Amino acid sequence: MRTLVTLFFLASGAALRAEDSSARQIDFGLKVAQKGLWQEARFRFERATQADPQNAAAQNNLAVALEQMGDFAGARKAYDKALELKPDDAYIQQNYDLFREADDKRNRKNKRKRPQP
Amino acid sequence: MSVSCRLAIAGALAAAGCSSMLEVPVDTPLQSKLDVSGFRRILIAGFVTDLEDSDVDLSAETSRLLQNQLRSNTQLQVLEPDRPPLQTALETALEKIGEGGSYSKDEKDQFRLEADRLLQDPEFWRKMGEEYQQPLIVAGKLDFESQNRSGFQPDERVVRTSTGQPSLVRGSRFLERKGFVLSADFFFIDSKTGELLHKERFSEEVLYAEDQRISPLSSYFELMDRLLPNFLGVLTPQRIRGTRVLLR
Repeated sequence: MRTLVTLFFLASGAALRAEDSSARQIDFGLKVAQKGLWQEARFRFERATQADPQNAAAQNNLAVALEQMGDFAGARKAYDKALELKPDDAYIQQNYDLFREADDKRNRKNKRKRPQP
Repeated sequence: MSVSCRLAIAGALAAAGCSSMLEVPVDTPLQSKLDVSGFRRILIAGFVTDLEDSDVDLSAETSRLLQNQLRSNTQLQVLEPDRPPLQTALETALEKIGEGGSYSKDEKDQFRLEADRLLQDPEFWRKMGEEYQQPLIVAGKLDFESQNRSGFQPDERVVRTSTGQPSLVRGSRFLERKGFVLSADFFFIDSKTGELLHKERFSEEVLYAEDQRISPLSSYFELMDRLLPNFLGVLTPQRIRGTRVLLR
């Protein structure tokens, strides 16, 4: 019984530490994103998703950073994951809708044949 | 739920002082439709317009406006011939069709056919290319017309009932409105080969209340102002600007 209780506390402690680490990475990511340092923000949001893969905010923020840096496939994947984790979040859905709108424009342009000069 | 609806909800949440979100600007690249790296010069050759009398000299105004925009928004050297070369060719074609002034329907159709033939004639463009050191050529067709858009529009009013309660009444109301429509077909031609590289059609419309006194020229510039980013997007990379929400 004592072993079970110890294991429970160890497990919840690890989860709390993961959440705490993820939150700290997100906080720092937000600060650098505000300054336009998207490379660093992306790194922080990636760390946040690694620390807590169930954190929808981290996935959303990673998606925004990837979109800003031009990795549209990566951004779509991260938005999908964020919406999977929090399907009713209006902010994530709004980001995703705007991303899709812009991505559709890009794809329409890329589909056109590019002539050889 | 529409994007605008979601934006409204998100805006309302933000206005309510929700500190768990942060709105940030994003700016992503949008490639140009044409790769113009093989060209050093660009020539606005002129535009085919209707033979009707118009308040706006469409071809001249558009050529001048595009030249200015291309000078400030591209690296290409913008050629400025004294007269748009397509105009000279069109006038020659017109002389063969009939006397100046008013034209019959048949003559207008004949002119339109001849203009279309010129626009699609690689030899014509190749010769022009030789004359102007093989630039990228922009030509096309333009149409600008006023339209009467008066008619019944759905209308909603709040009225007080006999008991003083507000009530929504739906109906329709006659609105006198006029509009201007600008349609443009732009042809982007490689003058080395005379081949058409790309063709783009734009159409823009603006409506005014009947009592607004807007000159056709002002309307034309308003519509061109809307159309220009799309025109430039064919030749130069554009940016898609927007905002996204970061979450805590």
